[in-house]
Amino acid sequence: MNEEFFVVLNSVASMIVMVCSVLSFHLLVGISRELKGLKTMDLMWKNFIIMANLFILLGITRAVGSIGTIIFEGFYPVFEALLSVTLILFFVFAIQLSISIEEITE
Amino acid sequence: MNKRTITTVGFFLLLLADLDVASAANGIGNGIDISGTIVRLISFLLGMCGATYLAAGLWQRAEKGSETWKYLSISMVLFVFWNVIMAFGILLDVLAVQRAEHEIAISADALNTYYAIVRILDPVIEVIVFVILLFGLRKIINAMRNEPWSVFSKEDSDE
Repeated sequence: MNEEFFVVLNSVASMIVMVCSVLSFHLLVGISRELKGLKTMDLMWKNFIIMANLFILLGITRAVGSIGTIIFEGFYPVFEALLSVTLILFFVFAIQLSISIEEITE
Repeated sequence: MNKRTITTVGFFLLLLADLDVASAANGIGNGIDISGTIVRLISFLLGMCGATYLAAGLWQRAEKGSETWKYLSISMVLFVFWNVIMAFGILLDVLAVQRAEHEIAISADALNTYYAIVRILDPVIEVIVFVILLFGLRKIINAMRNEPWSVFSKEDSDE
């Protein structure tokens, strides 16, 4: 397979991920508004919103990184490093969210 | 596990990742940057662990509450696959550099095929993860608007 195929595939995928991320962010804003009626689930929802935002940030970083690397290859290590930072933060809040979900389930 | 411990470990790892950012900004990332590669590998492994644990928690939540949590759980399971593929990609990078320097017995064709598989699966799985996440969030918000009690419980409609 030639290089152009991968460039097109990555670009299309990045566009779709960006669109999905922006729409997901709008939905998260909607969920935050709805939370006023569920005050007993505060901690779990707080962790859920942070985790979902980090997940969306991860997608946007990855998508911008893919397109940025096509334009200028020097961006690649920086975007990879940013991806690592976001993944580590995602890990922390994913564990915290799982713990709060477990507490609610029990 | 204590939440404070998790946060402390997380920030320690973040510090390592910051070193990675600094080395990347200084242009050390050519060839194999050992510390950068290790941090990337660790971050993908941590992503795998976090997403697996979260997928299990969300699935358990879906069993006792609304089915909408299952969408997020499936999204997290696919995210685990994405992390596996990315970790495999890092190992391929290292293998490619080591092959050039020390003539490791692996054919260039095999390496190129593995690269091609990783480069195709990476964007495809990423798109599927985010599309399922979008549908999952839409289902959750619909459930919250129409039947708020169903988000957490199948039985207690008074909550």
